Amino acid sequence: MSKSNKKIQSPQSDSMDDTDGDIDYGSDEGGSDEEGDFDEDEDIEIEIEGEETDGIYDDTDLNRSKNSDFTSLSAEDLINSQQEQVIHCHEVLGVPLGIAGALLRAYAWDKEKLFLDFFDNRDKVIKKANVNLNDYVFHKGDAKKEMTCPVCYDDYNGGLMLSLSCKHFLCRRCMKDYLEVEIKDGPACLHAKCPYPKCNVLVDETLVKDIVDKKHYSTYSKFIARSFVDDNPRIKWCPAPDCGRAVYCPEGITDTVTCTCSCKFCFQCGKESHVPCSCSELVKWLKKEKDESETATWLTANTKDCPKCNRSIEKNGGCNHMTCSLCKYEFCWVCMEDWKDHSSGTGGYYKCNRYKPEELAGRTKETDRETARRELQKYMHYFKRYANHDKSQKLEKQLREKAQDKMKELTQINKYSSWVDVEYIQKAVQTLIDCRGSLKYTYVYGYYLDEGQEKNLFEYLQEDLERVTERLSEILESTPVEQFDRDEIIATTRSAATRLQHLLEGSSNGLVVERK
Amino acid sequence: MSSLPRRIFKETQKLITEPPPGISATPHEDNLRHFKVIITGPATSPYENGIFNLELFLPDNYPMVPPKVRFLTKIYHPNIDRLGRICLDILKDKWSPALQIRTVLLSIQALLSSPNPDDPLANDVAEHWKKDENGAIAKAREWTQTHAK
Repeated sequence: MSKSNKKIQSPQSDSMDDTDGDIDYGSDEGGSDEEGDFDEDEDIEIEIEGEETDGIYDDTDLNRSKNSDFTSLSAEDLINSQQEQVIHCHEVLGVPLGIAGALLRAYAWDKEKLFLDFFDNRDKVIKKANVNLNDYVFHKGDAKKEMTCPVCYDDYNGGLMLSLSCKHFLCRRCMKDYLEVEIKDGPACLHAKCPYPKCNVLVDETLVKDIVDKKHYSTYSKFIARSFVDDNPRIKWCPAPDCGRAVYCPEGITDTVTCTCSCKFCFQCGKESHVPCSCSELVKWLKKEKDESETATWLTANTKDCPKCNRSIEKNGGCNHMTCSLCKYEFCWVCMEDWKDHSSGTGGYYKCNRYKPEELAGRTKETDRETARRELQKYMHYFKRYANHDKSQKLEKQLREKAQDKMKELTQINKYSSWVDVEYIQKAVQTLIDCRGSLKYTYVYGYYLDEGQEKNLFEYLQEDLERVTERLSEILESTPVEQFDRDEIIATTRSAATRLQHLLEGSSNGLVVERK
Repeated sequence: MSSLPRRIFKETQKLITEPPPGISATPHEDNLRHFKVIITGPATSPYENGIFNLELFLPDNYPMVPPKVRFLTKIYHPNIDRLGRICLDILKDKWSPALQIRTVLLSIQALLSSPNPDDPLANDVAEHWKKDENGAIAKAREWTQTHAK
């Protein structure tokens, strides 16, 4: 590495010192000397940007990404909010309610644009939405005449025939049948037109309500509520199964949002939250994952052999500290090295998150096959770690339940402690889950990151987070409840949350910044 | 089965008493919603003199939903596939309950006069039509002579 004129904004913060005390994570000094990739002799400054991170327990704090001004909306909220918009539009534009709804739908619920266009060129807007502002009620035929309904071919007194502004008359029953069939047909019924061939006059909501039965109208209303979300770029459905809520984000361009059901998802692609990696990287990664041989993927993802007795092991819990049930050998599930090397007590250092290409091949000339193999090795390196976290994440529900049990147990052990006193466990578990969820995607991000200073720093932060997350996981899973050290857990939780936040901030703002 | 709606009865009656030129539609005796249709190939089209058999069925929701129509006679046409299915807007999203069997059959007859290779159902035929119109027309004429007798 040549002398560089760059400043590295290390998201490392002095608030990390808060975690000092009994816990020693090995190195908090910003890369130990064994750490070849990160040489402090260079002209690199580590800028301590720390600010006391108050409210680290605030759930929103972890999502404090750009413009995260989002609200979660239940099915009821959606209907209310939708109605509010329609009423507002009705009041501002002075158009009937049914037409206000039609206009908003034609403008994908972009009220501001509708208002601007409407006052700018009213006729264009009206034409775009296929409505008639001067004539929006059902007309009756001439009561003095007999008329034949063109649909059922029955003869009626003109007073019983209906039409829209286009004066294409139909008997009431046929109009009802027609609209009900349209409603049964799906959401396209919101654009139902006069039943005459090539006639474009829209049947608006008020008219639909007037004529169809209750059951069909309720289906119709559901379609309207759905269109409110589906057509609206500022609202997205929560992807969690059976949640049914939607999240509203006024800017429409933020990344991670959290629904009330605690599901975190990406507002861009609608998938589970995947910071720090981008939507396009995720798509590439998932495609790659699919392409790799299924069996190999399954085997690598699900089993490993004990480094000592070679027995196949399938991991069924979150912690990476493994003890072989056969030979009692303790090792790390990620790098498969002796666990002793991971503890700070033995002076070891936790660095199994890193992929070191130079260790794999130092030769100069490579055949295509070797390149391919190296590429696969590189991919498997990242994939294994990704799959690891993915698997731990799937045990999330179990983890939450366990935490609830532990909290109950604790309140029973100490009758003076209330629920508030043990709430820290819940927070610790939530932080653990958040860290795991993000760590999973840091490997996707890392895989696509070019070798260099930024990657070194990123991996350093990742490693740091891995270590604290692992520590937290271990405390929560292996310590018996009665030995829970409240302060230690709170400190570790806080330390993990800070590290996570810094990693995410760092990767979204760029870790290496050109010096001005 | 529910009784036949008055509309279907009236339409059938009119189709039999005043059939449109070159078109005949008669309901089956055992199912009055199922029609046997014969369309004569329009003059000055490659289908001239051909006699094309079709079947037409009126679903329960008719006229709120369009009738189902298909060719039984083999035909070389860019908007009609090997199974006899027809690509015609009024048989799908442009259907209106104010249309009738008569208008549908007249539209099919018109489709024979003016094939539309830009909105194809049978891709290979449409391709042929666009690359070598004369060749395609000759082939359609040949098929008419062989199959539509």
